[in-house]
Amino acid sequence: MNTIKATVTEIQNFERISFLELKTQINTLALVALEIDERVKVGTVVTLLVKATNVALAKKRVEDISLSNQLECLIKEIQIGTLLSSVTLHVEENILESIITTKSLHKLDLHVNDKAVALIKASDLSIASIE
Amino acid sequence: MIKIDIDKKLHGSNGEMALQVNLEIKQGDFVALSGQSGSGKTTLLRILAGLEKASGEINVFGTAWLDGKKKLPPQERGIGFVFQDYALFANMTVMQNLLYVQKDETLANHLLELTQLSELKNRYPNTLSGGQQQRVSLCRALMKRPKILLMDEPLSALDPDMRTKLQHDILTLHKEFGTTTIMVSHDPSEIYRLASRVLVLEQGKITQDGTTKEVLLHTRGSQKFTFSGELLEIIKADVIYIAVVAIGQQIVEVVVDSHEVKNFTIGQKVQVSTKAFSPSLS
Repeated sequence: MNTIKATVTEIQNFERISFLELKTQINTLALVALEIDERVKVGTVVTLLVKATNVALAKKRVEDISLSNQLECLIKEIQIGTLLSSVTLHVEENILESIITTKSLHKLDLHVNDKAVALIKASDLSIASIE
Repeated sequence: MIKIDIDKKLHGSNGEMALQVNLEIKQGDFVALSGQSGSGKTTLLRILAGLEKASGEINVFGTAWLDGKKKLPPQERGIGFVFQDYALFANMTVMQNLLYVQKDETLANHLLELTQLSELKNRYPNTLSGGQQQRVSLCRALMKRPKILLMDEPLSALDPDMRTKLQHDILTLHKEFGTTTIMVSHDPSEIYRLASRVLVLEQGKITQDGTTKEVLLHTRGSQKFTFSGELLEIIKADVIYIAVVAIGQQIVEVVVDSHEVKNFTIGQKVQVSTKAFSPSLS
């Protein structure tokens, strides 16, 4: 849950910070972390993790935004709450949950089977495990 | 190189237990020894000092301290020992306490100067604060220019400010005298400041051995901000859940989603982790 399998395609290290570029079948992802595990190399398959509250949603790709990761997805389920709503997304074979305010859900007018874009900051994405 | 390969039967709180330690320590290293009470830490120090019997071998820079049953007497080992309760001679002044170990006034004065105790050299221990007494016992432990300095929770009876001062003194003396130091400690901040290597003893065996960061920095994947806790309660709020977790002396709350929540049961041990980028300090 809230995990994405991806292959590392690039690693940049500077001082104690690591920047990784990763690929899923169709998406390219960016991740920033402090000193990445030395077992992670170009070609390593990893499971990425993101907190549901750190997944934002847009109707379509957003240009002119600093945020690194935009994943095209399909809305499979929506649970509408009073203040918060949970949106379950299919991203390739992965299932992601996004928790957004109900106000935003209505503003974007999101429905089951709509296409959407999940937005995740590079620093909100972490490596949960190495395959 | 210090080589330790010893074996001793202990009567611990959970019945009989074998203290089995096999390790090498480099000259000049500062090693922290950690682990729950009753795991054998103090016994290991006492075996090194020659105060307790064990079978096996101890070889210190080419000299056998223990070889089968043959045991070098404690006074010939070149050990400095600092105890938690200072253990100073009450009927002697600070200076006399130091000179009792070795009649070397120049060294005694130098040590007292390094630890800013010169003005107290004619005072008796019971007129000194706990921190001052422990600094005196640290100086006394170094009067024989020991090859190995052993410290058994030397700072645990002191308040935080005094701890910081003594940590500084310990590091100064460790470097100045080039001793190899082994210190029993439970305090992560103390271990991080002083030691370069950490050993964790559990039930008489070393279960972790690594650099301070390797042993103390708990991580989960690339998440560097990780704590172990106990899940106390899960509260539903709107479409999310709030997990209440006890970590040490504190309670924290973590938001979990409706899918995650199914993986947990109340009372279980959990890891609370996030990336180093998320928390803020104030």
